[in-house]
Amino acid sequence: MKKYTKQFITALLFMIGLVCILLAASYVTVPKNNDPDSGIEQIDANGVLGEKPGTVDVLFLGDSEAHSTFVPLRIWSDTGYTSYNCGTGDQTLDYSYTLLKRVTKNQDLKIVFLEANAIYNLESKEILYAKLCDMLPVFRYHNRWKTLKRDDFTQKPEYTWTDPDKGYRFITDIVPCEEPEYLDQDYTDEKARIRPVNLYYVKRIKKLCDKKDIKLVLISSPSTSYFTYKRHNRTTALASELDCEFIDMNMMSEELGIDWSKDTRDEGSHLNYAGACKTTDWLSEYLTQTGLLTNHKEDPAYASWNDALAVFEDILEK
Amino acid sequence: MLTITTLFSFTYIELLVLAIIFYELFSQKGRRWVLLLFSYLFFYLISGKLICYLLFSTLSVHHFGIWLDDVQKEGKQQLKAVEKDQKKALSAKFKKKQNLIMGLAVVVHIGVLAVLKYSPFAISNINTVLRLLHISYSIDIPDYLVPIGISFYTLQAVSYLTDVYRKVIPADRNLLRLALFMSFFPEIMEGPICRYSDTAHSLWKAEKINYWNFIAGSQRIAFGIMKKLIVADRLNLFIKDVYLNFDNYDGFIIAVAMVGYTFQLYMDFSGTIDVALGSGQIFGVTLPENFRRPFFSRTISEFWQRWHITLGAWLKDYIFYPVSMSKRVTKLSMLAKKKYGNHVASLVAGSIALFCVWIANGIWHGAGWKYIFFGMYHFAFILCGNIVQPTVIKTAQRLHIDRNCLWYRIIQIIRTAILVCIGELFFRAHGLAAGIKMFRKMFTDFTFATLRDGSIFTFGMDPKDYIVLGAFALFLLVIGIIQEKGIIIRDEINKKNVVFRLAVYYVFILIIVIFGAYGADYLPVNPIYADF
Repeated sequence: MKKYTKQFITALLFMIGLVCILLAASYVTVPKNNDPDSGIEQIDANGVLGEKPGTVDVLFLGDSEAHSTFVPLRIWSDTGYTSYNCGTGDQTLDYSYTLLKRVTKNQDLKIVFLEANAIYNLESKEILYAKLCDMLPVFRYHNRWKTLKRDDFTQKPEYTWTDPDKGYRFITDIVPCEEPEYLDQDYTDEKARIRPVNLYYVKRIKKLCDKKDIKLVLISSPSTSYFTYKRHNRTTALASELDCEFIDMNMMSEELGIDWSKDTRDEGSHLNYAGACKTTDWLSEYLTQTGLLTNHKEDPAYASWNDALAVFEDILEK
Repeated sequence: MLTITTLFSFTYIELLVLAIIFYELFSQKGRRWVLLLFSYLFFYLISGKLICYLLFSTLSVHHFGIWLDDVQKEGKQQLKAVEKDQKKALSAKFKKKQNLIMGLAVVVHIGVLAVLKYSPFAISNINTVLRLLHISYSIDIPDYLVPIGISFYTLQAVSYLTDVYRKVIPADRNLLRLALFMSFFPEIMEGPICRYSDTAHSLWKAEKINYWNFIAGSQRIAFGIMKKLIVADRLNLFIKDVYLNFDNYDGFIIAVAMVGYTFQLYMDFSGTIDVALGSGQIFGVTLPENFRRPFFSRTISEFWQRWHITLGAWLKDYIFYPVSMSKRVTKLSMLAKKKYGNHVASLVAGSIALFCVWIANGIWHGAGWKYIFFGMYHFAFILCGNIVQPTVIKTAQRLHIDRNCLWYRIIQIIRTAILVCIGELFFRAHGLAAGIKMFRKMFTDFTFATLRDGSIFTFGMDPKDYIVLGAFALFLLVIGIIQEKGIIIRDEINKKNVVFRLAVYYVFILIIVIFGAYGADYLPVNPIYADF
């Protein structure tokens, strides 16, 4: 017994020592800013960390469907509401949750849109690894050993950079969809399956939103590739289970006026900027109707948003 | 389904940790089931429904083993009962029966492997011949899903059956024990290729996990992860690109990629084997070593005694000896002895057997002409070595050269390493024709331009990556020299006080975490030998 106790204590002390060393390594390797040269992961999405505290009201989470569909600066231009698009390619829901947690530390969000594609298409693989990276960032940023400077050993992270497009992926290419009649597929009452891990994270996202008094909305971007009635049915049921709203933009094609010969960049999988303008305009109207948001356009504290819009409009004109 | 990269992922570690926890929770009987269930779970995770091939192979091995055993026992009993003059005929009858059963068993096992792995290659060659003969008929090339590890567990199955046939071991009537031997999860993917007598009984013992086994096993796993993550995966981007687009690169880059690939393959394969051996050690099972510092070899022949040892030993026991001792080869050898003397006689027998071994070695690695070339390449050097060896020894004696002095050994080691690297160039190339072109480019298009302008550092690895690789190679060299002196480094570490040991562990873990080529900047790489 004495032998086992000694071995257990040795193992415990070893683990404590190891965690301390990895924490120290994490302190050194974690990027000290969030600008493109800093080495931070998912630069565009993490640009939200550089926004002034308490200035972002709306957040978009999800995969490439999210960052192709919602244009924060257009919402700003139309309504004066501040939003940020944290969509990233192949985003897994555990990462959506991580981003939401990061953002809610400094921002007083009013509405979070979770793009529903991520609930079905992606599996939150390697959860343990992702969690480990969150707890001990050295696992995520270990490769920064190549660019470490003296300041990395002493400085604390300070995020000062924000994405000029507020996370939106600006693409104007047109690759028309050859089969735009995707809603004509056979209707079914069946429901798609949501993997338990994804369901777990959707619930955690909802719980965090409730805790922070944030309205969670599930939303489906128009996509001829990913829409199915099974998914529509399951998301509708999920929204009901979670007691939140579900907006399926696929069911609003006439209202939105999506023209699949012009509004997609890759044969219907994702919208291009022209398509995103249509969905964003509808969303601006929706946001206004919620009555939860304030128009900050004339507020000097939000002057940087007008500067960002000016730059964005310059790019559009070019 | 998981990808096979999971052997080096947290998923494998999770599986191993869970297996250890469940293993410790049960009694000896339960522990056997835990190992078997986790072995099948792992195989299912990497191969899905193709697990049915493993199950079929296990059941068939069990059945043929018992059949052989029954025939042997029946023969023994009947031989006891008959008169002396009838014994020879009866013995021959039973031998014939055993040969038939053994033949059938080998056809079944090698047949499955041949159909799944080699039939597309065979058919594509038949189609080429038909085309050359201007025959418009062609056979559709099948596209089978091949279970991971089939080349490894098939060899284990054949070795078990042959050993039963040779009466080296008795047939195992316990299906569970045999199933565990065939499927033990740490070694199912890349080996080592185990013999029944090596592992079946220690697996079956399912002893409680011992503290020191746990520590030593974990050390070995960490060392394997270190090799794979720091070296093999770091080299991947560069190697992949150069071998795929060799036309865009000069001879110098190709030479660097050739050496780089040999280093990558060694680190990848031996790293995976370290993980397997370490995992086995945790459960108290000593799996056979597969590498013994191969790059200290002085000849190609010695290299293959140090590299993929279990495959070499398998080929030696189940191909080399049976062929060299077969009636026809013995007869030929005797004939050569009469005409040309002892040296030529031994060369004849050895060369025929060696040829069969190296054809088998090449084909085992894959269905393609480059693999056959790879086998013949090594056969040629080993054969040449055997032929010229007496002359070299005599010449060295006349010139008063000590063949064991350091500089002579170093020259031999470097020469062998170069020959091995060239062999691996063909092994990795996308086809034999590409391999020949790459080899030619090293002589016709050799320039240091990419080194002078620094562009070599833009092909997936920067100078810091080269420094890491260089440092690790140096580290391995030092470790290798110490091990060659017979010192077991892990034992030496374990003799030190706890503070020293902890410091060593922390440094190793930190090196893996910081310098490992994993995460968003790298692509996960499947263990290379899992494809063979």
